[in-house]
Amino acid sequence: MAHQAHAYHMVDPSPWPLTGAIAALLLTSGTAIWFHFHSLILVSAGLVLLLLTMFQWWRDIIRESTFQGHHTPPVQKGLRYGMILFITSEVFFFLGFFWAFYHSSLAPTPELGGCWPPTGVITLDPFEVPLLNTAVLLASGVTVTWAHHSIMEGERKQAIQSLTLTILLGFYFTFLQAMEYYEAPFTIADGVYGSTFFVATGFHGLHVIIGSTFLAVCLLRQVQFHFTSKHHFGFEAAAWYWHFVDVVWLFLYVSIYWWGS
Amino acid sequence: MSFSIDAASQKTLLAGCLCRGKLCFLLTIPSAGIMTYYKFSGFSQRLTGSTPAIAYSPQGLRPGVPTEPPTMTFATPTKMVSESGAMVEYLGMNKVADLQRLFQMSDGIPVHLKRGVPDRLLYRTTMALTVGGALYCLVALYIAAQPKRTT
Repeated sequence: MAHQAHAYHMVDPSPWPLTGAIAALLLTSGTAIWFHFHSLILVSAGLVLLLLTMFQWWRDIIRESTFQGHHTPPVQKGLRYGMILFITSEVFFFLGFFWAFYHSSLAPTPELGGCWPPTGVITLDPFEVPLLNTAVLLASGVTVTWAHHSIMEGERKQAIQSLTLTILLGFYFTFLQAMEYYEAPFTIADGVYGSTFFVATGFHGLHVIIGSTFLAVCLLRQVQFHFTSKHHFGFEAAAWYWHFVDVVWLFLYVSIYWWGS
Repeated sequence: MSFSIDAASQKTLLAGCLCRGKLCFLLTIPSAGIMTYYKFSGFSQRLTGSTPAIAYSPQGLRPGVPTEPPTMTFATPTKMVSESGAMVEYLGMNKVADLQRLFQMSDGIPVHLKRGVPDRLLYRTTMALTVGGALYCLVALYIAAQPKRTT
């Protein structure tokens, strides 16, 4: 390793941006080929390549940080700003769906019957499973904070247990949402109510799955002693993301499930 | 801990204390009678606004920020997490120190291949899929661009 007189991370040449770009090409072209010619080969190859790229790229980031010590305080500061900007972009992504929902619901068109929920749509009861989901996500917010404090205090056993509990609560939320989708009396094709409902809650569900995966990677890393009480930004980023997903759910619950019903 | 700075143009009193693991400052300008409170933000790494309650109620003496500038990564020999080797703890052994030794070897191998055979296998599989997939994709798109003539 060459001597360097500054604290910034000079990365090794990496093949992953190239493989990731080709994966994107295969996925998009593969979807078009699938729709036109009913062949799943290209889209499957794209998916496998994307998964291989994600695994190896993030594996290398763990090597660079935990094993090579490249994530010095100035580098960590950059990572913090990066994660903040990423979550900000996610906020605006969801803002678009809320905009569509309020645009449609605050001044319902005559085609909808001039009312919200639209005529003929039977909505889900917000005080049944959705309220339980709210409680589950809020509880997971508590357990992820418990995990964070355990890591900061060097309480290895508690950190592992609270992080496991957080992930289990995330899976329970996903399970309840899947049941709710299965039982829903309307579909994504049922006008603007169905489309705003399923697109907004569906993308939220996808984010819960991504957040659970992120936390699961943190649990594996915690078991393997990767986090110290002073340096555990990977976990902090996952916790920030989890809180973001939690807050989006609160807005979804209050707007779409409660007020919107 | 408290100290004062005699600035050239104005008398500035700067008092610092460690409270709640954070470093807090009380900055007063006696002539103007203004009291402003500051604390060291762990996130932005600079002074930000604070409240009198935090500045006046010290809670322990654990500094929240490193007092020394960060050590350059390779200016000094890198310290291992544990010099004593792997220890058995709750749910497995700590192998971080061994892996640090492995990944910090100066052999000129890039990080994505540094672990040897498993890395090379995975890398070659990925590259084969990249090249093969790109070629297959071009062919598929070429065929898709030649629709059957209906006339």
